[in-house]
Amino acid sequence: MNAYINPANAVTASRYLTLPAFVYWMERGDYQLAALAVVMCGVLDLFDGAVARAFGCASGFGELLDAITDAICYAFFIVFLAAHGDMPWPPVICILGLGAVNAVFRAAYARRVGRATNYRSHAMERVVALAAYLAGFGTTGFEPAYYAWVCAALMLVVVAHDARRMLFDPVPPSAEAEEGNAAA
Amino acid sequence: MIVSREAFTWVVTALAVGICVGWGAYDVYLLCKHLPARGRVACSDRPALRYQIFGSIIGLCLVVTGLLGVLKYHLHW
Repeated sequence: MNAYINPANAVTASRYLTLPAFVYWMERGDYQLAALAVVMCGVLDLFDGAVARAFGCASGFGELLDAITDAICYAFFIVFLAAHGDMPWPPVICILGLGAVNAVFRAAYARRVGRATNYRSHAMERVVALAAYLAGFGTTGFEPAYYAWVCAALMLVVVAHDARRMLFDPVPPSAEAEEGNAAA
Repeated sequence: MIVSREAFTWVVTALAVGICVGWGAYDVYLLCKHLPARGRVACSDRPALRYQIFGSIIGLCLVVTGLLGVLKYHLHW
């Protein structure tokens, strides 16, 4: 199957459709519907992996597209919420800055590996999930400042940990081999 | 508005607690699976294992954070 145009990447790309819906509902003051757009974005994120496995169309490009879409969608949500006055700016700026630093480290890791690769970090996956919930909590007014500061603090710990791994630890032969070693 | 504000608050609470419990159980399972292996082989020889364990510990930190946030909201800390 085509590595670029396939059902899994279509599901991933469809997550961008939640962004204008989110803005529209936030501007209208329909916070529940805006929260639904955030939830839809998260559900589609869970769904694309399952689609990739069902159709046998998992690819390196798909993984990279998924990671980039995560970053763009969740960053958009929390920046919009901060601009809207629903979340404090300082932790949002910390989260965005750490995300940018992490992206630079990922690029350095890809150079070390010698191929375009999606670097997999179990800890960062969890922090990204928290960023997704943060968008939902911000929309619903559910302790957004508390969650934003905790997200920024944990992200700092994970970026510091992953920096060593990406910049200095030996590169595994392949991502599959690495996962296999972990599961053994 | 789809539902009343109060009902919506409780839906968000139920979702947050449900996700925390499910997530916590999953990370405890992963820790139970990986920690014994850590004892058998030096951790320095198995970086992938070390990353998995670190990920699960961060996951458990997030679970605690999530539950504290729910309590903070409802008890007005």
